[in-house]
Amino acid sequence: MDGVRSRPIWAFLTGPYALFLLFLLLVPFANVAMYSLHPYSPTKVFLPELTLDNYRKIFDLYYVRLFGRTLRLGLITTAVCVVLGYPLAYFLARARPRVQALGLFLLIMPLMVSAVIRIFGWIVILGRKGLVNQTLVALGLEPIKLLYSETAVVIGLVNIFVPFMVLPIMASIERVPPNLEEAAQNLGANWYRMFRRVILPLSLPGLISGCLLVYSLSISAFVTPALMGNARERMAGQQIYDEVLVSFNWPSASSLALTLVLLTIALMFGALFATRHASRRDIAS
Amino acid sequence: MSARAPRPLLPFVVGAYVGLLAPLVVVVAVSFGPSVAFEFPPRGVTLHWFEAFFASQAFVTAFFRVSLVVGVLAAVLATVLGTSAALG
Repeated sequence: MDGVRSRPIWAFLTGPYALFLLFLLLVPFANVAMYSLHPYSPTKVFLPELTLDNYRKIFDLYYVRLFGRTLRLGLITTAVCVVLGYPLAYFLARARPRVQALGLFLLIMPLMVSAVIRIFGWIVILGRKGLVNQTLVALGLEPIKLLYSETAVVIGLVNIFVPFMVLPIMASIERVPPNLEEAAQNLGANWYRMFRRVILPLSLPGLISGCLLVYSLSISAFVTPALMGNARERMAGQQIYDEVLVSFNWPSASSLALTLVLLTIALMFGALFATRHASRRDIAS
Repeated sequence: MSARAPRPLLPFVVGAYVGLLAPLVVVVAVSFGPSVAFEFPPRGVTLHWFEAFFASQAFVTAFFRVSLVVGVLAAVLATVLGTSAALG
């Protein structure tokens, strides 16, 4: 009875958001999928016949290298985020409430500043006469070219995405009661062994969701590689942007964009499957 | 007494925060510097660039007439859509 009566209210409340998603996400996405199946035309955007050429082209050396570079930089960014983020997450999860509040504030605050502004900061630090090179010259060393390289892109991406790694890991470490750590150490485990057998396995879900977030965000990044990288070693986001707005090859850009989305989705399912598998094995043993 | 993270982790924590906050500190410091180019550390302290911001019609319009208005509208719309979807 109650369910029947509340249904119109439910539709009324969720309806606007559902319509919003339908018209501003699904319809444009379907449109992109449609473009990707038509040949490019310089005068009419696309020709009416259907083709798979846009996808075949992705196996050209140039595009294979583009995706290879994108996935590789995403992997490096994720790895650096784990190395920097895990200790930070552990520290915050076990810190006194006041230290934790301050630490979280310092972690979240940069998210409220536009990526462009933080990249300007990096340009000042990494530039030809920037802070790093000034220091190197003062120490009597040769200045190095840092900005507009893959290294700079990774630095920028790590800077922007590290909070997305820390927050899920911190949440899962917080759920591990501290007396589990004490029990393990009382029973004779040293810190390293305790970490490997207690904290690491129990924080694995947070670690995996952090890695997925950072990886999928960094392979689809556009602003950071565009401002801190160079045009020869570009990432997929820059290529898509150029094909949409510079060469106006919308069918090709659409096929690249869909490939990127499919790669991300495949990755998500792969990780989901891997965690299911891992937890089942844990229960079995 | 609850468990704390072990001390050897502290360098990583400090390092992560330095990396996270360095660009912000640099941008704020550079905004008070007298130079036209990005220069860090700045050679002096001046409010010249803040004056220039408020004196520029283009910047004032972009910030007060466009960015602020768009931001408020986006926040209102997101709150209404998000809250109703979460309730429903």
